[in-house]
Amino acid sequence: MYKIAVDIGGTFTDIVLTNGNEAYSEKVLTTNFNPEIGAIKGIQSILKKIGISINEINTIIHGTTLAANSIIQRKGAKTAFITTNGFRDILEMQYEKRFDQYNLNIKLPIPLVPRDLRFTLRERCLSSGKIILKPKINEIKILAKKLISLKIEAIAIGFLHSYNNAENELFVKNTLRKILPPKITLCTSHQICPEVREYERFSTTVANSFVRPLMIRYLDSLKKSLIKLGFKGKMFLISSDAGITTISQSKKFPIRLVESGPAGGVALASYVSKSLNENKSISLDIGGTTAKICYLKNGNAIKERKFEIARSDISKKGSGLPLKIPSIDLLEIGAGGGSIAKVDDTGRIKIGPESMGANPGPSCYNLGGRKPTITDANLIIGRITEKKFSDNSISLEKKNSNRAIKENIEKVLNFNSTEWAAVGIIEIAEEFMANSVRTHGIENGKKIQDHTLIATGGGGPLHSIGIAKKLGLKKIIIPKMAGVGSALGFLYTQANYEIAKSILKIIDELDLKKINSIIHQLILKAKNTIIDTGVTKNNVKTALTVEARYKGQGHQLRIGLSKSLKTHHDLKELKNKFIKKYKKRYGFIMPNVPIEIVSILVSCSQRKKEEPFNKTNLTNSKVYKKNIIKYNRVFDFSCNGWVNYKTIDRENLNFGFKIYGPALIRENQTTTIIPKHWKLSIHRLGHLIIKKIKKNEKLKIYSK
Amino acid sequence: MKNSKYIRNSIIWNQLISICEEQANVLLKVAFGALVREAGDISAGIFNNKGKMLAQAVTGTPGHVNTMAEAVPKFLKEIAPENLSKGDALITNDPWIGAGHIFDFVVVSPIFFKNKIIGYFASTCHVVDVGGIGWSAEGKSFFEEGILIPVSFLRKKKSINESLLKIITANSRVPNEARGDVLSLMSCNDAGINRLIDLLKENSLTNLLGTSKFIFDQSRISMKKIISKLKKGIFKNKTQLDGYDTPINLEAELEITDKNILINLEKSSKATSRGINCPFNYSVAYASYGVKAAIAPEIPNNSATLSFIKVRAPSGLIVSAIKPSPVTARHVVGQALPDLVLGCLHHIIPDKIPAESSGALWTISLRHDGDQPFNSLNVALGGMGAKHNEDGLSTTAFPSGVGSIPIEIVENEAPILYEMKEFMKNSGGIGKYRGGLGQKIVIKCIENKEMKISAAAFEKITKGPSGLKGGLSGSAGQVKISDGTKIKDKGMYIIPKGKKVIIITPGGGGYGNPKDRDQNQIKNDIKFGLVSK
Repeated sequence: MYKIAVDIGGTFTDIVLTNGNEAYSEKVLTTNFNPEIGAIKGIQSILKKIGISINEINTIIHGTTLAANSIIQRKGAKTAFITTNGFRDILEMQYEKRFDQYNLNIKLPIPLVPRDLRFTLRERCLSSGKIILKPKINEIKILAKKLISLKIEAIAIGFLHSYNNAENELFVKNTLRKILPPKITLCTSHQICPEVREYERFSTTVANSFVRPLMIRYLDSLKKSLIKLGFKGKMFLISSDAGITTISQSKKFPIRLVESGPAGGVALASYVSKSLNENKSISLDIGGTTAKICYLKNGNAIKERKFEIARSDISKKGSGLPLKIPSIDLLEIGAGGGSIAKVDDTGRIKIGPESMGANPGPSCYNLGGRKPTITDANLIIGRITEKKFSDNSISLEKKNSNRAIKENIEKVLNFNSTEWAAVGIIEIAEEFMANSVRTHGIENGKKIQDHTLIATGGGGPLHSIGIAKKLGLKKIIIPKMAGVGSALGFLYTQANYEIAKSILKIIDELDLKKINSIIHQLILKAKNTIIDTGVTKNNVKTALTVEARYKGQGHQLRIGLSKSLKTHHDLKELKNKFIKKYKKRYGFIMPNVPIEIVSILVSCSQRKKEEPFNKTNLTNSKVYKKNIIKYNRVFDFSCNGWVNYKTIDRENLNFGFKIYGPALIRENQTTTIIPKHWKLSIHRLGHLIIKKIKKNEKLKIYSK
Repeated sequence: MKNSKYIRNSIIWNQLISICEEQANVLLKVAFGALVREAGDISAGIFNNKGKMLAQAVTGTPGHVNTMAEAVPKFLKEIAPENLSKGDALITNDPWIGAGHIFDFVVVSPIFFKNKIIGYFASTCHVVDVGGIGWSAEGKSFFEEGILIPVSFLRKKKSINESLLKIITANSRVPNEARGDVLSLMSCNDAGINRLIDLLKENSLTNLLGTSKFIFDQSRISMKKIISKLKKGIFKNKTQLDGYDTPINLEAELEITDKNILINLEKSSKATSRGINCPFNYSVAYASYGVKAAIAPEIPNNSATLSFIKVRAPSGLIVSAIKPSPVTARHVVGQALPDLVLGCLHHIIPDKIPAESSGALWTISLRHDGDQPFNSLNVALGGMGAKHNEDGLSTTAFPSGVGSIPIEIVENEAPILYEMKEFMKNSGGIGKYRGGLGQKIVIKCIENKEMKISAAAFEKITKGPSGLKGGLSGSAGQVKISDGTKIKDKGMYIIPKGKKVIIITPGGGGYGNPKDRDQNQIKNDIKFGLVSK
C-alpha cells in the first residue's frame, strides 16, 4: 500500500512516495504548458526507482499553483459577470481608495472581467432577504444570446444581498443552464462565498469562474493520464486551507485551490509539529522572492477567510484582488534571498519588495545581476560560501557581491567596510521578517515567545535563529527533507472542509429554530464533502465557530462552540464567552451594546490520522567524529566582528549528535546558522533542533 | 560603534512605524462607525516626550495624520505633562486642536516607562454624531454643530471618566457608537504602549531620546537634499470652489527657498457664515500633504519632515477660520488644497503632477428625524486627474484616504436602497490621458419615509476639475432630487416620500492635448462604454 504526493511548483515538480515507513523523493522540471506531463513523468520515474507498479499506489495527493498562476498572469477563461442592474462597476470601483497614501502613481488591480463583459439584469433583493424584483425570463434569454455570440467560456453571477436570499441568482443560473451549451460554466456568488460585502463576494466568484474551465480541463486530463497508466486508486487535491479535497469539489470550486502552493509549505510544518508534539509553532518559509509566515496551533495552521492574490505590491494591503475563501492565514512579505537591498531617501537600508528572482538573480550568480541582494550579503559575511550553493551547482562570485554592496550600500552610507554594509542588510532583513512574524502573531492574539519556529526554504535555516533571537523564541526546528517539504507534508494532510454563512443577527433576536436548521444544513454539507474524500462517518470531527461582534462594529471575534445553539442558555454562554474574549483583547467592554452574530462557520475534518512514518534510516549513533568539523569565519553582528564558526555537513550528522554554537550546518540547498549561546541536536527523525542555551546550563565536552 | 548604532537605530525606526500600523489596525477592528471601520477615516501615531511626532501609521487619512502632528503639543499646553500619571488618556474634539471639525476625536495617551513619560501615542477617528444640528453646513457657529469636549481626562490612571462619556453619549444621536469609538481610540493607544514597552526592553532602551534624534536628523538630511534639488522661486496657482452659494477663491504662492517650502494662502477668500470654513490646522495638514506626496513620497511622515513645509495665512480666511466659525464640512476647502499646491509645483516638476482631481469627499449624509429615526453616512468618490503618462483612476479618493462603504453594509444599517452606483460615462476630462470617471448614485428610502440630505460636501458642481497641459476639465458634479429639485448650494434638502436622490460625482481633469491620444485607448474607451463615440 503506497501513497504518492505530487507538488507542482513554478520550476520544479516534487514527488514523494511512501509506504508508511519510509519516504522517497524525486524532482523533475515543471512542464508549464501541460503540467500533467511533468507530473506523470515524475511518478513514472519514482515508481521505476523503487521498483513498484502503479497498481500498488492507492492514493495520490496533489497540489498545484496552476489556479494561482492563471490569476496572477490574467490567463484564464473568457469570463462574463452578470450582476444587479445599476451596479456594473463594483469589480472595478473596488474599495475606491488608494492603498498607498503618498504614492501618486499607484496601480489598482485590474478586474478579471473587463467592463464590456460585465452585464446587468433587472432584479433586486433587500438586505432583509426580501425580493422586490424578480429577473425576467425574456431579459435572461436576450442576454444568453449575447453571451453565446461573444463566445464566453465562463459565467459568474453575483447579485446584491444574495448571501441572504439566493433565489434570484439560482433562477438566472437555472434559466441560463437550460439555454447555454453545457461547456459554458456557471457560478453563483452565494455558492462560492455566501457572505456580506459585495465587492469581495463578487471578486471571489469571478475568480472562481475565471480559473474553472482551465482547472476542469487540467484535472480531467491528469486523471485520464493516470488511469491510462493503470492507476486505480483515489486522487485528492490540496486546498488553500491545507486540507484535502476531491476532484469533483475542485472542479466546482477551483478557487479553493488557489493557495495550494503555500498551504503545502505549511503542510510540512504541520507534519513536523504533529510528529514532534509542538503545540504552538510558526512556519517560516523563506524563498527567493518572498517569506511566508503562518501560525500553527496543535499542528494545524490558523485559518482565515479572506486574503488577497496578485498584489501589485506584495507588502501592501489592498493592492491585490480580495478572495473570501477558507485558507491558511498566511502572511507573505517581499523578503527573500533575491530581494534587493537599497538605501532609501531617508538613508535607511530597505529590503525589497523588488527581487532579482532566479534570473539574473543576486549579483553573485554572475548572470548579469548587479544589485545587492540578501544572498550577496550572506556570502560577504561568510554565512554561505562560494562553492556548493545548491544542487544545480551554481558557483557564486564573491567579488560581484562585494562590488554590488560596496557601491550601493557601503559608499552611500559611509560605512567602514563592506562587511558592515552586508551585516546591515542582514540585520534589517531579519528584523523585517521578525517584525512581520510579530505583527501577524499580535493580530491573531498570540503570545509569540511560546512558539517554536519551523524554518524551511532556501533562506529559512540561514535566517531563522536571527529572527528567533529578535522575537525571544527559544526553539527552532529545521526539518529533514525540506527540499521536497510541501510534497512530504501533503502525505499527512487531513481531509477538511470549512463553510461559512453570514447571519447578521443580534444574539437576543435569534430565532433558535432557524439558526439550528442553518447549522444543521451547514454541518450536513461539510460532512458530506468530507465523506466524499473517503473518511468514514464515525471519523468526521465537526467544529462549530461563531463570529461575533458588538452591533455596529466591522471586525469580529471567533468564538468556538462546543455544541449547537439550542437553548437560551447556550446563547447566554456564547455572550459570556464573547465578552470575556473581547475584554481580554481590547481592554474594555460595551455593556449597553447588543452582540451580533456575523456568521457561522462549520468545519469538518478527519478525526484521527494514521501515524506519520516513524522509522528512519538514520542510525542511532552517538559517535562524535572530530574530523568532520572545519572552521569558517563569519562576520557576526552581535560580536561586532569576525568569529570562527564550526562548519559541518548535514549529511554527517547522526541522531544524538549535539553541538554548541557558533556553528554552520551545510547542506545542498541551504545553510543553518547556529550563533553563540545556541545549541544543536539531531532529532530521531533527522530534523535539526536548535535551542537557546539556558543561563546556568553546563556546557558539555564537545562544546569546543 | 557608529555602524552598529546606525543599523540598530534604523531598525527601531522601522519598528515604530510598524507599531503605529498595529495601533491603527486595532482601531479599525474595534471601531463602530462604518466610516471608520470600512472606509478608514482614522489616524494613529507616536510622539516623543516633547510632543513631536516620530512616526505614524500608513493606514489613515492625511487630514487626521497631519493635524494630529500639531495636536499633541496643544494637548500638553492644556494639561501639563507633570500632571499626567500612568494610565491617563486625554481627549478632545475641539476642531482647532484636533482634526478641524467637531466629529473628529483625538485621544492622547502618555507612555510611562520607569516612572517617566518617554512619549505619547495619539489617534483620531470620526464619530458619526455628536449632537447639535448633525452633519450639515447650516450651523451659524460651531456651537450649533455639536458638543465640544475641551482637552479632558478620558481615563485617569485606571478609571475611565464615565461622567465625560455620559456627556458625549447623552448628546449623540448614536450614543453606543459614540462611546465605542471614543473607547476604541483609548484601546488602540494602549495596544501601542504595550508594544512599545516590549520594544524598549528588547533593545535595552530606557527612553526614546536617541531614537528621536536619529529619526529627526535623518529626516532633515533627506528633506534638505530633496529641497536643494528643486528649482527656487515663487510659483502660483489659484482655483475656485462653488462655495456655499457664492464662489470661494483659493490662491497659493508657493515659495521654494534653500531652506524650506513656504505656502502663502493669504489671497484666499474670507471665512463665510456657513459650515464649510476650514480651521488653519486642517489647511496646513492638507497643503503639506500635497507637497509631500509630490516631492518626498518615500520619506516617513514626522515632525521633522513636516517642519520643512510652512503654511501662512492671516486668521479669519476660509482656510484659517477662527472660533466660533462653523466648520463641519471643512474638508470641502481643506481637501481642495493638495490640488492647489500641486498646481504650483507643476511649474517645476510637471512629470510628477496629475491634473486636478475631484477633490473633497462627497459625504452622503441622509437622515430621517421622525418615527424610528435613522442616520446614514457614506461617501461618494469622483475621478482622479490624469497623469503625464497614464489615465486617472476612476472613482478613487484623493487627497483623502477614506474609501466608500460597501452598499450591502450601508443597506444593512439603514432603510435605504441604492438603485444605482455605476461609472458616469464621459465624465473624465479628455486629453492625451483621460481623467478618471466619476459615478452616478441613486438612493431612495425603502420605508416610504421622507429623508433629509445635507448638500454640504457636494463641491465642484459648477465647474469640473481642471485639466493640465491642454487636457480638458472633467465634468462637474450634479445632484438632484427626483421631484425636480436641483441642488445648487450646500444647504439641507428634503427628499420627499417615494422620491430619490441622484448624485453624480465629478470626473478628473485630463492631461495633454486630446489630439495626441492613442487610437487604441480611444477604441477601448468606446468599447468599454466609458466614452461615447
